[in-house]
Amino acid sequence: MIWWTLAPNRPLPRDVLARLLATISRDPSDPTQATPRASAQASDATQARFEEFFTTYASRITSYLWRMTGDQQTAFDLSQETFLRAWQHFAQISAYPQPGAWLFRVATNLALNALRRQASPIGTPLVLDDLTDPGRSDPAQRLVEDDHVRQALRVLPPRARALLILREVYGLSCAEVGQVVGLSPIAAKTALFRAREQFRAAYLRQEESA
Amino acid sequence: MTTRQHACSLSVTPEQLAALRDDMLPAAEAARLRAHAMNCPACRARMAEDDLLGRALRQPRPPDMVDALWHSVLREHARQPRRSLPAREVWLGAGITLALLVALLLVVPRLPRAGGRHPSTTISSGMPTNVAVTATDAPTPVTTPTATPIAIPIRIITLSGLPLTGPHPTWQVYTLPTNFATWDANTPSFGVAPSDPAIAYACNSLGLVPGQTSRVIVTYDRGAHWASTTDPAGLTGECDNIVVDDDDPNVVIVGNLISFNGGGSWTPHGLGDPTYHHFYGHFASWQGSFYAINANHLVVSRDHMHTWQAIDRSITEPIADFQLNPANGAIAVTTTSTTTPPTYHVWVTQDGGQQWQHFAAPTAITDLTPIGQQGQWRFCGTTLAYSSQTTLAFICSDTMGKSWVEWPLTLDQGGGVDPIAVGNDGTLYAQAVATQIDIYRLAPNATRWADLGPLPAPMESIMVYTQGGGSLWAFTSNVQGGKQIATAPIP
Repeated sequence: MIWWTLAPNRPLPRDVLARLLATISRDPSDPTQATPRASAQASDATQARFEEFFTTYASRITSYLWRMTGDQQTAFDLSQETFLRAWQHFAQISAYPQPGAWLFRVATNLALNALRRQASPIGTPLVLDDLTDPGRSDPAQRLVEDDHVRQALRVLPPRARALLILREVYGLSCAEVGQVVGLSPIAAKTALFRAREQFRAAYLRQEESA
Repeated sequence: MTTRQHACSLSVTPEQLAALRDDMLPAAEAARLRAHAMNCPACRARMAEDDLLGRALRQPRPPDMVDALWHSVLREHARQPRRSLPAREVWLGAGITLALLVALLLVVPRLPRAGGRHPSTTISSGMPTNVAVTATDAPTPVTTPTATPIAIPIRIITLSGLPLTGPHPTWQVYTLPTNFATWDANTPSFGVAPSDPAIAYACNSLGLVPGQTSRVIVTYDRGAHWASTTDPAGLTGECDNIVVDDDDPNVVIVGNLISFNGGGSWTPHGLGDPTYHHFYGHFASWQGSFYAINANHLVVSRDHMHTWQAIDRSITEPIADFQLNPANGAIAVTTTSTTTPPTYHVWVTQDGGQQWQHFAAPTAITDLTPIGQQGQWRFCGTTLAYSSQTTLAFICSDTMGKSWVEWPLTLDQGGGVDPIAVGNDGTLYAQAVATQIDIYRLAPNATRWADLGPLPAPMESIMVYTQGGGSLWAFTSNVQGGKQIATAPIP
């Protein structure tokens, strides 16, 4: 009896868009925006603040979307869309106590929709350059295990996949995970348990068949 | 990793260990469980297995694309339009919209409701369609909708062999009014009136935009036409939970506000989080008393929501949810204990909380929904490891927990089966969340489920209302169909 909200990827009506853009491009706390030169300076300052924001979160968002979609190009495209939206609403988002939660929510919404549009629930196989990673003790074995993870994740419904990755890989709490996918903390706990059980069963099947 | 069975001598369940891992247990309980696990090979093995799965998930190393992404974001951001619309376009658009509104007022039939309010303004109606709708900036021509039925073939679960007779669900997909804008990361939220499922409310979250207020619209004909309500002043947060009274379709909660007249006026109800204008709890009324869950307590107001009193003093465990039986005003409360292992209890009162009787649900159940019907209760839920470690099951009890009926599920149905409603004839409806969402129906005295088929694309969630002949409502949070709903009479 619960449904979760996702981001519409369609243009807003013009009047709303105009108000949003006006809100975004205007910093009420900056009186220097009255002149073009001052406006440019303010724009530079905003960009600098956004770059700092981007640097803080970019690695987590791109890797999260890569894990969600299994495809580097899709992850790149969705990451770009996520941060473009963040830039549009940066005045609001930067005032949030946890702007990262907003980013994960938008990224999740975009990923779920991208996965729905795909015929296959997960994208192309992971790249083979993991073999050359010096940080791995047994690259060949790790590659096999990575493939098990990828195949096991493929079995999970997209939302369950998001729950599991957000909790296990990025360490979000049940409350934070629930906030991202639109569930209460208790419901998120239950859904997370189910997702983990599904992943466990699928992962074991992969190991047995290997 | 080969561990499969979990055979703890103290019956600690995998779900408890998962709750421990996810920091969802009280501190004392967590400490006790950890101490036990140190000396329990089964629990230790299970926790190690969970650790291994977590490491496996973290293991694949993502490609580094941050630098390339920054340059791409910079480039795309520079391309985006940054100007306001020319005044001429704004006035032209406003003129067209106004003309359409006037025209619509003339063509849309008035739908009087007993005790309801008169819509202050009627806004452009949705166009029924069975294809993805492309949003346009300009207002679209408005005509009286002529719904296009979408026949959804009924599929029979092979294992059940239960033949279905009667008409199939015939879905009608409607697009919400084009001038009902939502904020960027939100689709509208919906609330359907259980007592008259032709009535539903929708709210956008424009209140998130500084200086704006969220907007609520209402339909009296299952989504074919929508009318605006009085804008709820002060609703500045997300209105992502609309609750319509179980008994009176004109009583509706949106965020921290309530309307007793179908959206004609709004007033704070005093529940929920005043900072974020949220109220996530269930809400129901019976014979002038309003019940709700607030701060983990079942509360009641008998003075039109001026004051609230807790009526759950006999219940010592945290309350998960409650249901009101519309036939007799009885209330069933579900609780989850903080003990080891946790127990799930149902508490039932027939007299507004003076006296309670309760029973325990199977320990492996993960959720439990009381369903009131004709003065009786049916309790249903999904369980893991009720019969085995790897098989999901959907279970129900019609005997206040004395006996349970179980339908094993497959892992493909790992999203769970959620009971939705019971029809007047005793038919049970449920949704199964797998790779797609299907509606399931269990006929009276039947032992096997029938599958009524998937929801029409791109719908993703289903609500079943059995009053007034019965209605199916389907919603989507899909980006491409975020402004659509689908409705169908129950076949």
